[in-house]
Amino acid sequence: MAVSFSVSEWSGWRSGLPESYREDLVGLTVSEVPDVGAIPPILRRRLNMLGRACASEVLKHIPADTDIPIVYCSQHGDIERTLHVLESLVAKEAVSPVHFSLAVHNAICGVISIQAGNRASVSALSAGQQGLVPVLLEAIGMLVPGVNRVLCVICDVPLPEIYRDESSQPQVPYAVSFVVTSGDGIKLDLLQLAEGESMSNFRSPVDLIEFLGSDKSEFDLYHNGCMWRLARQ
Amino acid sequence: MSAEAFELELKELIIKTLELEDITPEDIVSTEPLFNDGLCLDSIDALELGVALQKLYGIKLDAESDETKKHFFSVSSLALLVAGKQKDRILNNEN
Repeated sequence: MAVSFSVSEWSGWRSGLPESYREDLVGLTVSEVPDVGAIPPILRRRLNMLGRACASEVLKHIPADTDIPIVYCSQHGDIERTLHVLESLVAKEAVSPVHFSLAVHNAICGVISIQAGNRASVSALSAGQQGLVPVLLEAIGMLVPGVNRVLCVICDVPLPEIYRDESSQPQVPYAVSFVVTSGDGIKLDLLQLAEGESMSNFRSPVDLIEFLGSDKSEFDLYHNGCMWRLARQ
Repeated sequence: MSAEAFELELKELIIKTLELEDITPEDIVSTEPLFNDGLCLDSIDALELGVALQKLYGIKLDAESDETKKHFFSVSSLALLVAGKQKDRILNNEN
């Protein structure tokens, strides 16, 4: 099984010291906090670290003159707000309407859509840290006559202390955004694994930036027991 | 507490509760609208402010009531509402 598509533009941000930036990661911004200076304060206050990471990258790819559908993916979503709501309930206090409404999985893209005036649909997925495969399949499935570009974003922040263990991912906040278009630049293929063969190398969504900006021909992904391969054509 | 000092307290509460990072109490005119025009707050802000008033002053508000909408018009009208509700509470406790 294989499907073809193209990626017309991409960018990413991850929290870190600028000196940890690698020049081969074309399109990746490394800084302490994401740059959301373009969003007015009245709207910016609705975005915490996850929302700001997401907005800083998504807004780079929303065209000024046309609407573009968005596929949003975050494993944990706005977990800090969800935790805040749960803590209020445990303490038998009134739940914050702001935290409650913005804890909804597609709320961040709602705020971004208001800022950008984007009226196209938003699909919100929750997939693991190797969630590129479901995002790509969702975006490719949305490419129909009349819709030839789908904006994708994958973002997450470290889990709050109460949920965290040594295997928790990610360790730093990040957001990766790219535009999937109809085309045949890249093929996504489901590989057959031989019996007993396993593939366990961890590929973070940030690694996609490295692949897209490089001349490497293949990028392997492991998802839910299956091996997938992105190959340039 | 003077009406002016109470209005300042409410302005500080509004800024802190609604995370208005670029606004100072001096920027908020007590008699100007808080919602839509003026400070440009929205319905989620109204609910959040209602919860904050409940927590801090122990007053309960009916979100559907037209009276509440009227009282949420400006800082001045909000100050009158809170003062009135607190007075009612004290009187009820005395009875």
